[in-house]
Amino acid sequence: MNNFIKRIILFLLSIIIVFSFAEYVLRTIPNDYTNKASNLSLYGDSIETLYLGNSHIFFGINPDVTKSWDFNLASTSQSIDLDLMLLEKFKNKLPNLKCVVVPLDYFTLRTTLSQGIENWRIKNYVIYYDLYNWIKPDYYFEVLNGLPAENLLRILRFLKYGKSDINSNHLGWGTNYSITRERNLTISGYEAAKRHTYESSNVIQTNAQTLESFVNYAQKLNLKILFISAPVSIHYAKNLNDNQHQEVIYKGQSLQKMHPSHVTYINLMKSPLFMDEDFYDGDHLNQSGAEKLTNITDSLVKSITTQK
Amino acid sequence: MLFNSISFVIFFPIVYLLYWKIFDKNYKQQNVLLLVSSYYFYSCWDWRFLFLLIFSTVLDYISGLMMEIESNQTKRKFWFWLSVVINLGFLGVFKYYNFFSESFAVMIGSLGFKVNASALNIILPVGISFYTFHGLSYIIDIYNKKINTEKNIVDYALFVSFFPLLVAGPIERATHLLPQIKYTRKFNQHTSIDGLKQILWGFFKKIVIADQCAIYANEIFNNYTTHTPSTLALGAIFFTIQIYGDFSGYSDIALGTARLLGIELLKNFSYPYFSRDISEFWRRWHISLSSWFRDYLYFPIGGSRGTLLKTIRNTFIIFIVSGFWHGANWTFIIWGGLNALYIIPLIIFQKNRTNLDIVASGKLRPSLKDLFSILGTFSLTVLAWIFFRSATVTDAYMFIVNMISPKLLSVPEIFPKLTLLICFLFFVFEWIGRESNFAIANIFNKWPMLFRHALYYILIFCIIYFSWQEQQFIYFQF
Repeated sequence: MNNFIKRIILFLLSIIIVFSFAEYVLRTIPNDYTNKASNLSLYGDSIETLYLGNSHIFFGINPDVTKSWDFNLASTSQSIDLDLMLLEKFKNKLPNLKCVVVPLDYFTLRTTLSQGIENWRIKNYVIYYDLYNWIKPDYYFEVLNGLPAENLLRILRFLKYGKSDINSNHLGWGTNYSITRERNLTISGYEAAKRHTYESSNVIQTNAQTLESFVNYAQKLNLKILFISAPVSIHYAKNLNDNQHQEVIYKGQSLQKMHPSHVTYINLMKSPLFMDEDFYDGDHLNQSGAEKLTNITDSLVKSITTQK
Repeated sequence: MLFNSISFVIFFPIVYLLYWKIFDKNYKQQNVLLLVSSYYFYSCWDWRFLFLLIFSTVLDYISGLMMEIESNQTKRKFWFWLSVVINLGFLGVFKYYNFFSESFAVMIGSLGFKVNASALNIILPVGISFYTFHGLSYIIDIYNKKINTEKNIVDYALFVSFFPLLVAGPIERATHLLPQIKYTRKFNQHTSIDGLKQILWGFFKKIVIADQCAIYANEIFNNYTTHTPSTLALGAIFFTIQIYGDFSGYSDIALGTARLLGIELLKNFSYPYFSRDISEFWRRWHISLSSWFRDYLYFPIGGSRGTLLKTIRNTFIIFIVSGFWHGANWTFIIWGGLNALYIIPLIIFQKNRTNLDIVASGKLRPSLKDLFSILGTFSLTVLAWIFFRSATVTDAYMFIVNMISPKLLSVPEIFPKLTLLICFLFFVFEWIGRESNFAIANIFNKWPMLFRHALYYILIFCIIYFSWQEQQFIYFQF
């Protein structure tokens, strides 16, 4: 028995060593999450507006455009439960925070990161933001998440060229749109709308409660909240399921109605201000689109925060 | 808890070390540990369903005892039927309620009446089809006085809930498993190494073969209207390989895990895609289920003892029931019926027990006749799997209609060379190892240790390289 265990350990030792090395290197590579966490600590004292949410905000809000102190803490596929956790986590580092901008997108009520196919991204919140107390053991390791081939490439790129995984600027705006999906607006708009349409409604209740908790928490901190349905291309908008679309709008309007002093909701999903040339693909704003959206939200935030 | 999860990688070594280092004094200690571990393993899915499993276990245990105590045949019959009805009742409610409700509504609707099917939002307790069949085999064997009642409830509960087989089989028999857990298991290094190799091969089948084929099978089946006939055919072949890699991979992991704990489970697969006819295929595919239906359904309704017509009827019955066991959908029933249709000519011409040996035993290559028989049988199973995989009968029908066309012989638009190469190499390994319990059981034994270990490392590398997200095993849904 002991001999058997020794042989097994010896056999596995080389695998464990390779795994540990890969894990160490992967964690050493600077990425958007480490970048945001460190910059948030750096600029935390000055930040007045915090942008949360998914890739629509990550690529759609460029805090550099404004003259105020804003920070973009959004990331791809970040759902509302994570937005709340992030606010709770970083609140103490943001003493001058006045407003939080949160997307209320077409899919917000029907998804959470942990239940979707992008759930491998949870490791970023566990490892770099230390958000969860205890969750599935897989999420504590870089090597166990993401495509192994992609991880291998990341390691090689870092070791050989010192290339980091940072794709955002110092204020958190996504600068390197590199999703290898279809860029044709008609096709990508259709595909994204299809991908974001959910027949299942099993998380609506939970997400609605999370939104309420978000509002209550922000109210307790005396923060203003701007819920925003981010702009999408017409090719995306025309393929939406009406029920799912309406439930989001209804939720935004009812939150504003219930908490008029703290909550503002704006729906830019079908806004004529945004043309095809403002988008990378069906639902992600490009640099000029991001500038437009940032200016709109900035002026809204200013008017909200100056209200008594 | 999935076998291919980190939770299991943490769970199993703990159980293993406790089992051989602390609880190894006698079989009672070993059984208590295994039972607690099995219940924990099961509750990781949904602890609420643990109560259902325990209830079913206690019911069968008490029914078994009562049948032994009672000499009165009527009372024995009462306990027997009580257990059978309740077990099948649970299975019926959890697995088949919505199917019957919807089918009834459609039937009444076709007669001109308007009825709303009251569908229940029921979650299927994982493994219910498997542990119900464990319990039923025990109860039926006691009723027929083939076995003695198990007096120790821990031992009986372990027979039903032993974690390697709890959620997707193999479907064990009391006559096979109970005697093994009535003795203290002694550690055996040779068996343990064999178990590890079987687990490694199981993971390779699941992650490298099944999960890779699943990518293309899913794409093609989900969008079958947009693909060319040859692509559809390739999709059906990918699913055929996927379901084998998935389920036999699971069985290998289960058998290997049990072997590490000193327990031999029933063999579930024996290279079914090298079968020369459909009868042989069914002697090699999901063996524990096929033999269960043979012993507890086919034989009791007469088997092949009566006239030819009765044999054909009985064959249809077990294949349709077997199809229905897989799921509450007409697609499974048609899949079962289609397999029965394949077998009927063999029964009529008394050829159903022709190929009982291993194909080309002791030879490197099959004869031309064997090769054609294997390819013919494989094609028939591919066709049947289309029904198994499709969401509805209409989808399956349209898939086949779109597939059968002169363009079937064109180059498929989806043609993943790497996956096809891996599948080819996989079948080469399976062919070489077809006389062993599992493909890599003996084929590297004569190699020097360095090369042997290098090959194991390559297999592990492939498993890691191709693993990404945990994929459910297909048979967990049954």
